[in-house]
Amino acid sequence: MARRLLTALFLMFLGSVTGFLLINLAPGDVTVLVAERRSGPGATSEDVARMAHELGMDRPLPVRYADWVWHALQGDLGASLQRNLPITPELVDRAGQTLLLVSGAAVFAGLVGGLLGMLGALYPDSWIDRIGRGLALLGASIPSFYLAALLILFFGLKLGVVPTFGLSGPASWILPWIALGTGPAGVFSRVVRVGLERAMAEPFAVTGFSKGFTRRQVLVKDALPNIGPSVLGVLATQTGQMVPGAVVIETVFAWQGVGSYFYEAVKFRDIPVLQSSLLVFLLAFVVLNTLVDIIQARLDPRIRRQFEGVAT
Amino acid sequence: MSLAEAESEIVLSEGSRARSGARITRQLRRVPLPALVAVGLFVVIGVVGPWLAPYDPNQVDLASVRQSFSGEHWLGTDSLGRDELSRLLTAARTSLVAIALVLGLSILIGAVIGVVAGATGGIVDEVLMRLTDVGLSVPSLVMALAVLGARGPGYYNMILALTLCWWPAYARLTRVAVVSLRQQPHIEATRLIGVPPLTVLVRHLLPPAVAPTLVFASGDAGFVALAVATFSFLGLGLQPPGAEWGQMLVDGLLTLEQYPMLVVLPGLALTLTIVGLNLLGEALALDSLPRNISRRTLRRRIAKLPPLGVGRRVDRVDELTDAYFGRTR
Repeated sequence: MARRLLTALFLMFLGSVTGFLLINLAPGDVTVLVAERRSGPGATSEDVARMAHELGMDRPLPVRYADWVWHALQGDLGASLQRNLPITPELVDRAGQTLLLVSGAAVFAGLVGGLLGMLGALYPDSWIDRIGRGLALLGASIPSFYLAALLILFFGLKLGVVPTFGLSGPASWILPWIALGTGPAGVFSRVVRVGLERAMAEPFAVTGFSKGFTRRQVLVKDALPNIGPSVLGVLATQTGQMVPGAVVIETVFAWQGVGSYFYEAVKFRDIPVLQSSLLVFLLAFVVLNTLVDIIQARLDPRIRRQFEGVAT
Repeated sequence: MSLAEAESEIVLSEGSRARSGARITRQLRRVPLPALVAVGLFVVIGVVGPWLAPYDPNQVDLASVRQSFSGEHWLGTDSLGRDELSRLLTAARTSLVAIALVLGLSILIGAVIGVVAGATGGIVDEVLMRLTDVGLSVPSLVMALAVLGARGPGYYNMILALTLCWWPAYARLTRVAVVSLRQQPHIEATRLIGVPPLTVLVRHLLPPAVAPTLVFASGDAGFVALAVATFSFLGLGLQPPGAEWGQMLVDGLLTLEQYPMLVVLPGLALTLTIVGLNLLGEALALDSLPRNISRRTLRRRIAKLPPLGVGRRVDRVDELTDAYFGRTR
């Protein structure tokens, strides 16, 4: 447990260093860009130097990293270059919408993907399995923004049953959830399907059959608990990978979440906002993975033994 | 196929070098026809598309804006009067080149790092692999987005950013292959008879270590295609007026209700390509674990077996086993 937390902290550190380096080692002087945007195109080299000093960009990289992390730990992520507004309150403000989007999409992916995968494993090679596998392939392949556009076109514009953009109550949540959750649902259903199929070929399942249990009984009572913890891990990974998807979906549906904030920063090359959003994504990613690891260890004695060593 | 699956597959399949060629042919035969058609079309159009295009894809014609399908413009025109078909055909090359470059560079970087790490071992191996682990443990697309944010948008910047975040998986795979290869008798034999280490590296370790990464890459191509399209959709890839499916789609979004075809067509091209690539990858995915098959499938396979003659009973057991696991000899 303590070791798991230590690993998480270490991962946070490594990730933040990587992100910091990738962003700050990119060529092209951002201070010039900022100086030009702030004081017009005719920024002199003095302006640029003054700006660099003001932003602390003239200090060596390790100092800048340490300074940044020190302030970040105290909850101060600095100010955005674009509007010169403090970043922390903005991020806190926007986190709710992204959380709503991603958690809804994750639940959608888990329910739909899990159901399709289970049905496929229950009736292998039947029509429902074929349809399920086809849908899984299509879902995993279709770009989320294309699906979003088709959903808007059909349900929003043609039928007019749900709002096409913005955030106005539960009806406006549905399309973004589906658009973001379909890809992970496709991947997840395949994992569940294959996992269950393999579990059903193992000795314990054969024992179940020979005792006279039906395929459904063995699947629900034996195979599902067996693969449950590991597929939960897959779902968590899929959820962690929804972040770039959230950037797209928040842009398409005009939500004001962390994703669209990050996207604005990418477009403007707003280094402080880039770093900060990346840190938030990283934090969410690490927290999610750590939580799932702990839950997995609770549920699955095999994983628990791996953590604790052979002693127990 | 996940990275972990691919890794275990490499370890399991070591020592069966002679059969690996046959295995790849067998896997290729398993690729469904629609996937071959989709991927084949994509590659062919990617190569010759710009020459097939009936019009200059960037030719603005404000007199014929947003036309629907006609004999003159088969798939209509976009908001600047540019020929939609020509743009769709040209865009295939944009995607194909981006996918090929990202995967090619990742395989190359991965091969160099993986072979160096696996062949030298010790501290070099440790440092390189921890670096790879960091790359693998952070969400790669987000990192790529951040890199693009720092460097600014552009086609080659996008390829660079994606490559930076894509190579770790290939480094890991190559290293796993090299490490397990090094324990093989024929590699030890080269050392015994005094072959220079560099020659062993280049002639005996590199080719068999890179081969499995190529298979992995084929399954990876769909993800790269999706990433490229996403970046273009966000306006971070190829800049206007160049044609790219994701970017054409975002252009069409403004007039989604009035002219849905400007969104549907590029999206369709994109989806077909990615479905094809994913099907290809799925078929090439090496599954090492036996699976249950349905009674119907088994019956169909048994029906195809040669008739049972005198003295063939022992073969029959092998044939039935093969039929069950779907193997062909």
